[in-house]
Amino acid sequence: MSSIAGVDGTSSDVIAALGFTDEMTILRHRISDWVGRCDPEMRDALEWQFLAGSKYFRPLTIFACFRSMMPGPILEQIITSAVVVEFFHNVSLVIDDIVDRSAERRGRATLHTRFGELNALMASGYIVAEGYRYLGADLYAIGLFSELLKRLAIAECMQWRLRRQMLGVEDWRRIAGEDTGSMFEICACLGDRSSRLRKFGGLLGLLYHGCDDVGDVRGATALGGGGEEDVRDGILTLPAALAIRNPAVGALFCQPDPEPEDLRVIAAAFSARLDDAEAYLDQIAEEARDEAQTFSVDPAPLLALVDQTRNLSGR
Amino acid sequence: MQQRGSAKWFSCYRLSFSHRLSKFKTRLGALEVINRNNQSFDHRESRLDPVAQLLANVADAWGKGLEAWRVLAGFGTSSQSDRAGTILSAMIDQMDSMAQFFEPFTSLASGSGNTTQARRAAMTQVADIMSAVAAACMVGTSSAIRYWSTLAELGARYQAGLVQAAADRATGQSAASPAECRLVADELRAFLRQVGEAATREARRLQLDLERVGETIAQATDRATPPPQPYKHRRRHEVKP
Repeated sequence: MSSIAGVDGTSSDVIAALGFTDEMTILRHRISDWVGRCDPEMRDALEWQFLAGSKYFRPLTIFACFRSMMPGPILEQIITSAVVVEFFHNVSLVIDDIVDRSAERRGRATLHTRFGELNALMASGYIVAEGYRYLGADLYAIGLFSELLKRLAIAECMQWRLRRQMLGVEDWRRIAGEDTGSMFEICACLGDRSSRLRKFGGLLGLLYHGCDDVGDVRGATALGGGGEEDVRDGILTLPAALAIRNPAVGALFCQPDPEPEDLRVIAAAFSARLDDAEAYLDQIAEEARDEAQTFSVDPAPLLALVDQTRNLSGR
Repeated sequence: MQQRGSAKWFSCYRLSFSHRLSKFKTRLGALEVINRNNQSFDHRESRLDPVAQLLANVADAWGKGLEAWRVLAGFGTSSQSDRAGTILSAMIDQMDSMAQFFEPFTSLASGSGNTTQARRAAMTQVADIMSAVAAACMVGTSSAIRYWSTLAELGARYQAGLVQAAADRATGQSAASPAECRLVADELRAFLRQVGEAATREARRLQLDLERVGETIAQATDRATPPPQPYKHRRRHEVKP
């Protein structure tokens, strides 16, 4: 495959609006070149994973954080970080799909479905190793990526350990903050190169995670669609945390093997709390805007990111 | 770039400063001084040294601010032993020390206006730095006020629900169901998280605002000894590990 990956329609507008079209093209070419230079044994799997198109929302966050702190062209070091964050994001997708037993992602076979679990797991390790090699001597970025991988591992274990339990919104916040929140925290730090926007990144990730949860309940496809796995596995999503405040719903949610009828009741209870979930997401979005306005030099790119993310819930 | 943080505070400081001293204006860096008769200070027209006059007026403004804090502290004399009283006293002590620092400039202002050029330049540098120090004090004070008002806002937002829940349990009016207990616990955790976040956020903001004042001081110092390259190129883009 010689083509480069396309940009998903959900983020192409904001990429253009923020003036990162050229940088994003460079990024996609870099990824394509890298895939082309990988070992032939791995290449098919990597092409399948990387060249199918992406939202590139994490690289976009890096670019926006950089631009909000410093005018002028995006530095080479920042583009390299953006490439590697896309690598590591794909690792997390591959592992998530294996854990969730997802056959498809965005209407396409997942890596383990297409190539088998062994290849998918080995491809993940290969990507991580290549990511560190790609960073070269950028010790600041290496430290941040190490932090990211550790936090993602912890978040995945924590989320699995805490499934099917009567927990609250604060617990959801903690899990989401370590999962998607940590990814965007690191993106913000890679972009601003000073950690000043770390909290902003965390809030943006939390917002993204919450919008994903709500979008799944609505059946929105902007973030990949599906949410049946979360209901089936008793994963604590934002609508779940609100819905299980009702003891009857909570009892169904905590069942080890819910019947299909139970799953329908649970899904309906989640839908009934969507307005509350949206209101909570509005609060998070407001916190993120406040952080951007207080701690950045030019908050405009960050505010556009928040608005873009907030729309992903499909409200 | 929009005006933010310490720059905003410095504007407030300038505003209140010129308001308090009526016909007195100053700008960090390029010093413009207007006397109480709305005339520009000039040693040919006035015998007063403008920089010394500026510093004297800073001292005057500082003294008035100190008085205001003392009055504020006076309201709370009945609870002097409480923590807020202790904090207020500490702040007043700090401001008092600052006022003592300003004292020599008050006497300078009443001195003769025939200062030497070197002395005048030195005093201009001191004025720049003193203005920044005053701005830093303002930043610190406003940070404390902002933090306490955030806490008050959080308390007001969560207090009603939490107090009601506690009162219901205490008076035995209703037995708490496990679901109610979980809801109260979730609320309480949200409250505690936000209290903690308010502290760290305010600390980060204070650090940022003080860094900006620090930059102002560094720039004032650099103006005295111009570097081979422009200032911004030397200190731009600080990377932290």
